[in-house]
Amino acid sequence: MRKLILEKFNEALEQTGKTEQYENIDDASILLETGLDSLGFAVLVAILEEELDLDPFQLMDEPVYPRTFGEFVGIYKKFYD
Amino acid sequence: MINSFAESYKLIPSDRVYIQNKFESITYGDVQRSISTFREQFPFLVGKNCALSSSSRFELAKAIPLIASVVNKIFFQPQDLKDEVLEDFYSKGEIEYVINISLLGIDVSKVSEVAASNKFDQEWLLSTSGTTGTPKLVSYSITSLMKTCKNDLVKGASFNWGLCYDLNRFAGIQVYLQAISSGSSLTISESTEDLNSVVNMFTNRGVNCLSATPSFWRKVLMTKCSNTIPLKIITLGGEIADQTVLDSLSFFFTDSNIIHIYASTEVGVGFTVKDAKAGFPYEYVGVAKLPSIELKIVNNILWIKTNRGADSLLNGTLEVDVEGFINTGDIVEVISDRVLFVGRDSGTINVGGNKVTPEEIETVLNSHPGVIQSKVFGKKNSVLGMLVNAEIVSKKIIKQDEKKIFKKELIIFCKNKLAPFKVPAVIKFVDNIAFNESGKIVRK
Repeated sequence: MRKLILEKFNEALEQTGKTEQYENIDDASILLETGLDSLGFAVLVAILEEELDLDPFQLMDEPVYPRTFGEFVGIYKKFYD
Repeated sequence: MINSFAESYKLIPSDRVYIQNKFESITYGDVQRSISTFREQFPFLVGKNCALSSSSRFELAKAIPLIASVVNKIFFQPQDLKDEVLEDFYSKGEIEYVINISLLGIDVSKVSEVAASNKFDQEWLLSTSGTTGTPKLVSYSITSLMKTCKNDLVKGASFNWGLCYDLNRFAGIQVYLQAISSGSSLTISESTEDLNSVVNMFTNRGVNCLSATPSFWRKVLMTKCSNTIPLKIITLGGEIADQTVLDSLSFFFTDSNIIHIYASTEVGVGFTVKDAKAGFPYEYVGVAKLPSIELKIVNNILWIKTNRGADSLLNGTLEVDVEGFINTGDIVEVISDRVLFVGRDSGTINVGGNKVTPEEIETVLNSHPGVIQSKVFGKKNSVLGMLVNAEIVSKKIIKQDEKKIFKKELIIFCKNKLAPFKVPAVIKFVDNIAFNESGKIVRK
């Protein structure tokens, strides 16, 4: 899951015209400081939904928006299982 | 001429903070003194029709009371209007002077000579956003603009509103007037500022009321210290407020009242919903259910009759029926006792507050040599409310492994011709696209 998210993360960066590309992202990295803006983040959620047929943010009981990369991956892991 | 706006200042204790940002703080007393100086400096603006332009929200807020204290009409000029639209608006609004406000000061230039007919009440002209065709220009009397503003100066002393809208738009003006009419303070962020620094300023300055779009709130909720803002009142507007964002706000800001507002530049403030649930109660629909407005639903479209909308429309048209109801263009769905918003009748896609017309993007996609036909639509998105999606009928049959490459090519093609939020986020290849009897793409 982590690998897939990282791949799509780079895709979303590229798709929204950002130059950053990551080999790896630390779990503690703040999402909004990675170069991905809110449009990029929205695109990431959309292309992951296309891939996994899952938008965990519409399924959450406890509505929390992720702040770090680790939290983001955690949410997808939790709902994909 | 009466001016309920200029009058409201005189009653506010002069030591209260009027506006502040990271660097500066100005009291209502300071404003009163600046008004007298301004009158001496620009005597020729008395009773004139003026356009007001500034790229700084703070500088604009500084100037509004000065200008409103002398002129007959103010046009709040957005920064992004095309020259020909601006010229048209100046003529329709009978604008005589353009006032540019910057850090360097106030610069006044004359654009035309009009025999200004002084109205009984000051007029404020506002423009709708021009992203979907030609923007509308609407005129409000300051009295109708302030109709929904509370004016309890005692309660107002404890309110500090954060501003994260542009001040030359309806939403920004509403926040501004609400703060001023109760003698509250306004803490102003600029559109160019980084969100973390805005959140820090709101926390340090003790902002306890904040109005923003659902997309802006989602972004705020993703910043490190958002829950340090001591919020008591949270309002949402400008986009569909979904249950997730409402729940998330209640979860993080346990002591706050969460209100979503249905409003538009043309219709004004329609109604508010205070139960932190998406949509609005079905009991709002019908005769005499709400003060000042009436709602009805015809073929799943929401119509509204109001006595606090714009006084006149100087540019553009509205669809109004024989009973005086205005077509809002909002598609709704009634589920048990709740009315929920689904999208726009025109197919307009609201990407985080930016309006997108599908036809514009379809035209670009259809101009690609490999595309026969395209259909663009909005798809629900947890981050920006809606996102642009496209279906494509390709000219030649493409194999599975070629799809990814062609998708990428189409995205780059769109990126070169369209603003980033208009570029389709997800593209699917289909065999055909459905048309109705009149040959138009079926959009529902």
